[in-house]
Amino acid sequence: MTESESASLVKTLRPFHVWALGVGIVLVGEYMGWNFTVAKGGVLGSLLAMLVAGTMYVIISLCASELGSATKLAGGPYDWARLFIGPGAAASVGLAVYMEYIALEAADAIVVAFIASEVFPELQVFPVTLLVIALLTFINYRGVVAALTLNFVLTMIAFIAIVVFFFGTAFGVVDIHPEYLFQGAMPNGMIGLFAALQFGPWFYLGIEGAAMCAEECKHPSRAVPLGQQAGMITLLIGAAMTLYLCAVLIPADMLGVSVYPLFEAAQNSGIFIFIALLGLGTLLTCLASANGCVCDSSRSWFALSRDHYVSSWFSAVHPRYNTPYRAVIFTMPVAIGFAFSGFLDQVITFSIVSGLLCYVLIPFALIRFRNLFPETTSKVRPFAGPLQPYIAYFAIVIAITILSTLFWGYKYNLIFGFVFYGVAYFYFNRKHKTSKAENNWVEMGWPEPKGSENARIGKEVIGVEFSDD
Amino acid sequence: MDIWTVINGIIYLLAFALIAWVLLDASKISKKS
Repeated sequence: MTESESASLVKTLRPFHVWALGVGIVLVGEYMGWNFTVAKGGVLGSLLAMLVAGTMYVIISLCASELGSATKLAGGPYDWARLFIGPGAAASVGLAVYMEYIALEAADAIVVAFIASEVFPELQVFPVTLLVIALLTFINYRGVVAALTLNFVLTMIAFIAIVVFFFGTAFGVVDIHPEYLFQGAMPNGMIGLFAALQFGPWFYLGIEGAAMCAEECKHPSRAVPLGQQAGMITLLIGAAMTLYLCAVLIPADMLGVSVYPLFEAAQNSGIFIFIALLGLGTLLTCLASANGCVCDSSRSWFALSRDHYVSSWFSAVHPRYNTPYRAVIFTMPVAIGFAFSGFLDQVITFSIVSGLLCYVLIPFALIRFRNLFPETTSKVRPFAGPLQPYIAYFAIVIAITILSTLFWGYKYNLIFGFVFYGVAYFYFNRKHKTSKAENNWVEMGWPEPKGSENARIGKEVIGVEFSDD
Repeated sequence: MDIWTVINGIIYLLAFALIAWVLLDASKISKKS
């Protein structure tokens, strides 16, 4: 056995790292992007989108906490699909997660470069984007603890900036315009409310990725649910504050097309400290998001590689830093390719389509998990979410509804996404049906699944051919 | 030469230095194993 094959991922992460990974990736969506809901459905449409998407994400994060703390594997949604649905779904989800995060990383890096070039117009976008991607790859290559501790600091500053701005406004430091709420409440009628749903995920997109560091957590059964649920609560509070601040400080017609809505709201307040705080928050949240995306996309690729869905060459672990170093390096050329493709909006939409596909399959994996292991023993399920699996069905309905709204304006992205993941599904389903991989329920310390006398179901679940020999 | 050309050049250099460090370390580890 080689040195890098014998090395394994280091178990050092704590709940605040899980929080930092989840919120770090997502908070950028509250600084920018969510406001397109206002362009479609006005302030009311945005509120509805926030609530509907929020409901879906609360359920998804409950599913992810339960599955992540039970399986304790680095692949997150990919590993849950592999264990409880089948190889085709696993490959589709693994690739979807990889694409979702890598596209987001590319978009974040470009935004950092744009902000830098707005402050210093002589700075070029290309080298700054390249530097951001290279620097974050370097940090993630050197170790997950340093990467996620950095994420914690960046994310905390960005979140505190929103909280300070909100309380400053609430205590009358800033003059607000409540009339903006009514002027732009519902400009496009009922159809606008429905269309606004497509941008609702921006408030929370990627929170399920917090569970992807489960394999590197010191106590995953505690750290994953605690970090992820704390992250979800943070995002719900952040989303509500953001919507209120922007809706009372920016007229709805301008809010709908704003590039940096929170920063623009701070500018409209006219108070320097808020402008500086929110400007800094916008920059830091982009960096934190890109950093978290490198971490999650590399873990997804590492997990795919470890199970031979892609070349097993990528599954090597660095003997000194205990990181999946080849998978981390591989994020770099793909992110640079996405960043300089020139189709930023298409890249972001592809990220959303990929995310929504995961939001259909994560609750489905939970339903299968609950059917296979109905025991509530702490060995199989250290964390059991409330009202499951009924709310998982509800999350699937919401995810499909939001996916359907993408037909307004993003029909071709949606069709491309379905074709891409459909081909991946059938290709990997066929390829892994014939493999002789052994199921690992016993290795995981789990009992045999329900209804199985001799692990037949277990083998079928992971999609491998059953043989009696 | 304009100061911003130099700064942009330094940013390029930094980015390529980081990429080179990561790739060199990875190839060293791969050779060792």
